[in-house]
Amino acid sequence: MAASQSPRKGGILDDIEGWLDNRDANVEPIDAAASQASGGPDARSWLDRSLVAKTAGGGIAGLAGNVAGVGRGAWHSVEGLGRGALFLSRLVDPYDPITSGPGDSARDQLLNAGKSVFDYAKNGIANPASVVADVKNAARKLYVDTDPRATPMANTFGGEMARNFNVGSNQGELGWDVGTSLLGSGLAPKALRLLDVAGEAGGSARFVGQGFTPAKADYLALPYKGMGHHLVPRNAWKPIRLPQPLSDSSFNVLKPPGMSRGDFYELHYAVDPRFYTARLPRAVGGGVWNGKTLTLPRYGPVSRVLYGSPAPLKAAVGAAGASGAAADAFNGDR
Amino acid sequence: MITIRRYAEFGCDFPDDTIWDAEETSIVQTGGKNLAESIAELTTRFGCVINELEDNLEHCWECRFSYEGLELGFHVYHAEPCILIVDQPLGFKRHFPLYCHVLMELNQAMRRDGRFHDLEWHTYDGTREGKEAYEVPVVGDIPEIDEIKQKPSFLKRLFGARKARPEIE
Repeated sequence: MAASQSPRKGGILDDIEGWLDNRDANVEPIDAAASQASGGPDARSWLDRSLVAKTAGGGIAGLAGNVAGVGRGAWHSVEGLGRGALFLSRLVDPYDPITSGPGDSARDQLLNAGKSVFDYAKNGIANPASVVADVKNAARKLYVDTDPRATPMANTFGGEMARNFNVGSNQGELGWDVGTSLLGSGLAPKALRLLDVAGEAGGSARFVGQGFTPAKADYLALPYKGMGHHLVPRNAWKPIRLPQPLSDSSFNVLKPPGMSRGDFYELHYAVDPRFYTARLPRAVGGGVWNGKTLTLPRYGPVSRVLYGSPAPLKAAVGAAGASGAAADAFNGDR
Repeated sequence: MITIRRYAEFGCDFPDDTIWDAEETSIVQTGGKNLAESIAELTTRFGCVINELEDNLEHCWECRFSYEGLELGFHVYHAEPCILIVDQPLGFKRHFPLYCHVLMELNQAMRRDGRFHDLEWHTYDGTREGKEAYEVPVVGDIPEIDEIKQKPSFLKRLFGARKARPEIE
């Protein structure tokens, strides 16, 4: 009996291998079920063994997952809309190509995204089988993510509830996405999510072009090592001044990693109305970097907050409002 | 109607006093301390009291001072050209004549001092300065200091002592 089931057990495992790789559904290992099938003692509780109880519990968890999934989808859409709005504001901002490094401007990103789509279409025409395989894989993933029948029942009552909650939340999010896409509001953020930030900061040639000597341009092209831009200024009016540890924390300091001095000064000038100049060391000839002399633009109040907020702060604000957090916490605890 | 221009650009003969770290990659003390101290000293000549001089690292030097009880402040950037921004006072409109006097006195003091030159004033909305340059920071009918001092505040007028009633014998 056991010998005849071994190939079948292996077949099931092979079938769900990809699913197990990608998901953390807390499904108990099938080995236990196999050992029970092979005649070993079943140490599970009545609840874990009961097919009826697990089906009922799974159904309730699936419904709860639907609700959480809709919330998660709504949040993702809000997040996407925020990013999309930010992207669109950069796209129409005439100064964006000036303040962004080569290849970093919204227009360049849009062109790159268009190029990627074009390349994919070109490859698809040359090799139609790859497109068919991609579509099959996507359909398979959708099936596993949203249909409880695509994966085996969990070995325990808790595991089965978690599995159904996951599938239910995926269904809820899918429902939200389809609904909002039909209404036209969800489509833009989804499309904008596809856009990747690309391109490296320009070298010293750009700063030579701004009128700096080669030595100063080289200095400006080196990575920025200063204190960064403080969203709430360090010397703010005392009643609203932050305690120093918080003021200098990553939640208040904008200091994008890997950014050159010159690029950071331009960003700092754009987002901080109190930042005008930066001294250059005597070793490169002294003098100052002056945003006004370079006729750089400054952002308005809204863009200042959008572009001047450090990433950890944005993430924290986003997480606090995430309506899908409860679902994730539920899954994480189990 | 009073027009105020509180952003100034000027040249100066002060040496760069920026303090760098050993590798000259980070600034330990912002340049312009000598400049800020000199402007602060100018304000004391017409009656201001300096409360605090602070390094806003990698930005500018800030000075908080008071004039006839009115709390004010300025930011100064040692650059090419140097920049001076005099903060607007918080509070009631009656403070504005005092503020105007500070700007006018500071303008005159800087013009008299040979260390400053090419001084010009611009309007400033808190984030951007106007393009037009002016020789004077304030235009309009500004009451004299004594007149301002004599005028009771709104609260004093509201809760101040009433005329004594004649006593009835």
